[in-house]
Amino acid sequence: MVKAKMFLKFLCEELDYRFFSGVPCCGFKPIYDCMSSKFMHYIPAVSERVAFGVSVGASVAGIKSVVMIDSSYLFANLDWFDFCKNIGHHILVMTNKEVKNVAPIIVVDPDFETLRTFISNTELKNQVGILVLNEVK
Amino acid sequence: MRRNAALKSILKFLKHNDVIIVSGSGLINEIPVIDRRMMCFERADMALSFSVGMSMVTEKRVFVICEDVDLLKSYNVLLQISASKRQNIFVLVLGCDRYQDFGGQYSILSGIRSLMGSVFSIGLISHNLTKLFDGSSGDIIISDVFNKLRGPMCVFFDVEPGIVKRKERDLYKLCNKGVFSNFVNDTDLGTSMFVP
Repeated sequence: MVKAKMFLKFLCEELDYRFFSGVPCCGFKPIYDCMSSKFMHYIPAVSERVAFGVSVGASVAGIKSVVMIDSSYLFANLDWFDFCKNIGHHILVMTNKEVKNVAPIIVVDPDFETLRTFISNTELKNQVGILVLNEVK
Repeated sequence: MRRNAALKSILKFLKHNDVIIVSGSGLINEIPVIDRRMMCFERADMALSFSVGMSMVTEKRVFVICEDVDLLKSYNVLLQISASKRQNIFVLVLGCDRYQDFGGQYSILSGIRSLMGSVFSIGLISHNLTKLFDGSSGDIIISDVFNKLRGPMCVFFDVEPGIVKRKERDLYKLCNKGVFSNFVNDTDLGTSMFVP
């Protein structure tokens, strides 16, 4: 089990991902409880597609950003994955369940060093990285 | 005025430090020059939502050029634009109530009381600037209007049906992310936002 507060602090303060956008989903409740405008910026979106767009827009402009969406909507946003792949762009996607064959994926566990390596690898390769938060409480 | 002529005139009045986001393969093919200020998308909802994120992190003016029929498909993004309350985001809508790139099929827009009114009621400032481009207004007046735009705004231009057939452009070869990203982050260029 990973504590949501520790995970968010790691993501925001150590890795500098401070721009979040998403549509509320019950799987992220522990994350929502720990959010604070002191160290991050969260944009609620009207739909998952828009959340993706807002985050990609911000990250193309140079701000590291994260999309928070329900795993069932990942396949509805394949054209965003395609866009990022074609222009060679990195972004992080947080989901609540594991979905295979979309993009490089990692289940968040207490070993943050593995997570750090995963994120830096996807950053270097300009890929979309998916973080699965089913262990985050 | 046809769509390609309208595009040419609009681009003439945008500044060197404005971010331009174009949506729709038809518009991408008709746009005269694609430079470092531009990012192209095939779908309007992607272009509009991308522009929301972009406008939040840059002070530059962000213009999205799309068609009225595309706006119908991405109506929910207009809500996001309105809620963002960013003053540097502008949606330029070229419309003739038809799917021009798909054989000129009619859309449901003729059955709607007022698209402009509905956009206004969402919370975006709406203007129709077609009359500015009919030849009676000089360049100075038009550029003055463009210089004083404050968003979130939706600007409508009525165009005549008809497209210019051109060779299809490859979307992703045109858009160089690195160049575009550098342009957006270039603070030396400043912003053309109107300060009253």
